[in-house]
Amino acid sequence: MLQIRWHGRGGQGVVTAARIFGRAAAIYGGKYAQSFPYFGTERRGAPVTAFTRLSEQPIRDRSQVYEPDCVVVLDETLLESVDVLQGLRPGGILVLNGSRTNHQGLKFKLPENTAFYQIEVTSLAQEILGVPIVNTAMVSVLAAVTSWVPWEAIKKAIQDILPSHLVEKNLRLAEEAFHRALALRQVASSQGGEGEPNSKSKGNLHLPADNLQPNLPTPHLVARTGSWRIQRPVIDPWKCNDCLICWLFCPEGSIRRGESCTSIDLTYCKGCGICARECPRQAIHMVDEALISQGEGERLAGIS
Amino acid sequence: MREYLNGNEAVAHAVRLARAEVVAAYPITPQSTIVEEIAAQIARGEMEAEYIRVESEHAALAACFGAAVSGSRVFTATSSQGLAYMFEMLHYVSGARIPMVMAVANRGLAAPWTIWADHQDSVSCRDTGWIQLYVETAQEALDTCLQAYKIAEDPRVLTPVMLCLDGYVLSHTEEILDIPSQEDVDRFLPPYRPQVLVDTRRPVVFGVGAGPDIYPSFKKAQQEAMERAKEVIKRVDEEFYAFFGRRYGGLVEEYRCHDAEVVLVTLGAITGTAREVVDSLRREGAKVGVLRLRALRPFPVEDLRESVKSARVVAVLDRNCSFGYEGVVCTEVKAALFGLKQPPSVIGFVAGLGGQDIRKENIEGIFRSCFNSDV
Amino acid sequence: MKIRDLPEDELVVGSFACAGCGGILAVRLALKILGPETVIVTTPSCLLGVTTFYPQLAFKVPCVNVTFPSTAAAVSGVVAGLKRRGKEHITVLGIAGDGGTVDIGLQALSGAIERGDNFIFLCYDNEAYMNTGVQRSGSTPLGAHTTTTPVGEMLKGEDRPKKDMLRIVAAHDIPYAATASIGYPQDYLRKIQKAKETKGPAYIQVLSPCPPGWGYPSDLTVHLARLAVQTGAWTLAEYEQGKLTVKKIDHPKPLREYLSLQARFAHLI
Repeated sequence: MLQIRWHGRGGQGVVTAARIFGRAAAIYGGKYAQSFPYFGTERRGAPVTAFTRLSEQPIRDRSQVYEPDCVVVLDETLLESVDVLQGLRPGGILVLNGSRTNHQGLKFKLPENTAFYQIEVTSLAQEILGVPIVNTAMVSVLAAVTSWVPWEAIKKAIQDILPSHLVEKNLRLAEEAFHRALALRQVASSQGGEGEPNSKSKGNLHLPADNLQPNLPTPHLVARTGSWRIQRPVIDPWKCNDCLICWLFCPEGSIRRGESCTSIDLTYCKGCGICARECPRQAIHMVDEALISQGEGERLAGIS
Repeated sequence: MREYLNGNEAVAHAVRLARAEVVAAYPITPQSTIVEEIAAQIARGEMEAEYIRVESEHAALAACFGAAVSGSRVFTATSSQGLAYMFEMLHYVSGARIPMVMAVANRGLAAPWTIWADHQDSVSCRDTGWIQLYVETAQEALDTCLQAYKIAEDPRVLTPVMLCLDGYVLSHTEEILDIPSQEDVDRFLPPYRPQVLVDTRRPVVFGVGAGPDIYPSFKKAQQEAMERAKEVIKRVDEEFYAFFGRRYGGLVEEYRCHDAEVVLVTLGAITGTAREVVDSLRREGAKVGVLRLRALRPFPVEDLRESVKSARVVAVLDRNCSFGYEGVVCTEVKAALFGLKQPPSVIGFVAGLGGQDIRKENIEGIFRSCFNSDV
Repeated sequence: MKIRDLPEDELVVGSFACAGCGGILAVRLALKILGPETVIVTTPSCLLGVTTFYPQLAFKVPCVNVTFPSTAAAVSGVVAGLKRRGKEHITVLGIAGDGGTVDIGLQALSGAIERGDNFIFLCYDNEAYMNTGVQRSGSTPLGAHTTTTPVGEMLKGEDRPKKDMLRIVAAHDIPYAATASIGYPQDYLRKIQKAKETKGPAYIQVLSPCPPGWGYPSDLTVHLARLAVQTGAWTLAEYEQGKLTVKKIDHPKPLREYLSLQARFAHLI
């Protein structure tokens, strides 16, 4: 049996990815398969997991997946808040979508003999689909690096599952991603021990189980949802006249009103973009988080 | 003070003496006269409480939930369909560990539509996480209501109590009883002082959501509280005895069980009739006894085993039925005795559904059939 | 009312709401007026799911969660409990989505209004059951695609008009009731202020767009809440002392402008 865990954010089609892979294997790949979401509600932007199991035999186990053979991460910003390596078996596979090179020593935390594939398909999705949704691309990448499911099967499953008006563009994206991944032969083996186990995956709520007093009503405690962001608002101080329209409309209360200078506290900012949309002077620009890390935020926002 | 009251009136007096501060209820026969009497006591100025005239039983329990987390001692009462309509809220109250007392004037469930007594309503709510105490007399209804607040509010328990009294047979039957003085009750039952409550200076959430990683911990804590409740119920009964000179055996009440070969297990009001039969059969030389389960939850496994030590046969009289199996108490008793070295045989009898009267002859028949059984 | 006069303190912080959630913005703005001396009573809905999931509490005010049908009943209980403790100055704020208000919560709300308890009931109306995955509610507008009113050969989205909840609460002779939109914050906050000052029950139904449920990019939330009013898809109304007043839109924009931005109406365009 092969077990795959998919990580992404609500709205990125993570559950659909698990289903496409499972359907491809089961209907067109001659295997038995099972796919399911992490059971619960899904919020757009919040971390989401889903699972696919593949086997040559009928699958009777209905428990969740704790020791995956393979982890696929659709969004590298998740690495800041989610332990994507949790339970990954030695000799397993990690597939990561993203361009950042430094993930705080991710490579050092990999279990022994992990095959690590990093590929950037977000810009490809943006180019072909017009939106940064990478589920079909990452399904194809996984097919390319594992050969667990025939490529033709993946394409058929995409056609089955996606709404008809999205099929053509997604097949183009899948095709391109598949061939880029085939070319990728960058296997990183691990050095060092396993990652710290961490059972909480929702937001940044890390509370050791010992501290829980479930009898007592809960005091104020919040999740830092800033890690959900794909885009970040950047204020152009030359244009901003501190009218506070952005402060008024921010659902997260992330705008700070200074004496003479409005600023943004990114701790909880999910990057919804309402502030940029509502600013009467167009003084706020949304900048991709991936580019911010390269120190180009202000330049990209057109702020001189 | 000696008074002549029915079970419902007795409960209403207990609620006044317990100084319940918020009462929310919706009328249903045969419960209604409890809350009518409470309303009358408030109208006469004998009782100081907020009375919320809700539009349904579901709302009654929701309002009690809101008032209790705001720091009030609360009360509600219902029967049958009304209890069924509360089902969802029952779990909310017990799961959020809200101590409160609800009287259930037991009545059968439709269809066929009925207003008369059996235990199907409360027994169907056996697994809702409420402590269930069944009473035998109007006096015990009053006394147990006072005990129930003390049990529910005990910091080791923090679990709601359902006070079950048979519809009509207890709720509408007048008998002589003693009403304790307010001074004595105040000494027995101090004011409700919750450790955590709705407070804008210290915000907390009641009825929180919980994921699969932590939900079982909440439920385990509930189960442990129920286990602790066994001791608390017994202790409160003894404390009550010290104050008022009346006690009810804690979790179970034995009657002539010590050497009985056949013990009849009962719930509620029918026990009195069974005592009569035990006495008359004993005069004939038959070694019989009756064991009343005062608590159905927590289930008194240890006490039950002790009480039926000498019995060859344990008969169980159920005023309810788990369709497709048998009376619920019968199943519970079998399970409790399972694993004993020489367990008595257990024979179940379902009787008295929908108010059908259970007469002495019927109970005598049960005993005789047990003696004649080859098991 | 100047923006700078509103308190800077945030009473809703760190919720799991979707990016651009109109509902959480509606609650945040309401608490700007109501302040920390408030108790929230709510039920399983998006709001509960994103704010009070153990060990989280995203409000800096106390919160009481009860069953889906019983928000307003629990409100009555909290009002009574606070009265017993001499804390009648605390505002009791019942919050439910449109399903928890106009459908399953209607009976309890009717009871509480008719009892005349002193509370505010805030319905954040996103026009469907969003928490369970966008199923239609009594508040879903005519023509909207939801997962239970899909578009196909035989059905073209919701086939019944939206329930007129304002007239239902008005029929209770409620002291104050209003509809509002987060696209008109001045108007909304003024109505919250009025509700706070009202002795007895007050009802406010605020249009709170939902990016995933309606199908639009998250930055358009406020824009759509404004367009809804400008195109006449949503009315700003007030019921006070037995009189209903509706804000007049002098030059309404074409409805198409509002509908065409949302996937739930895509089949109509």
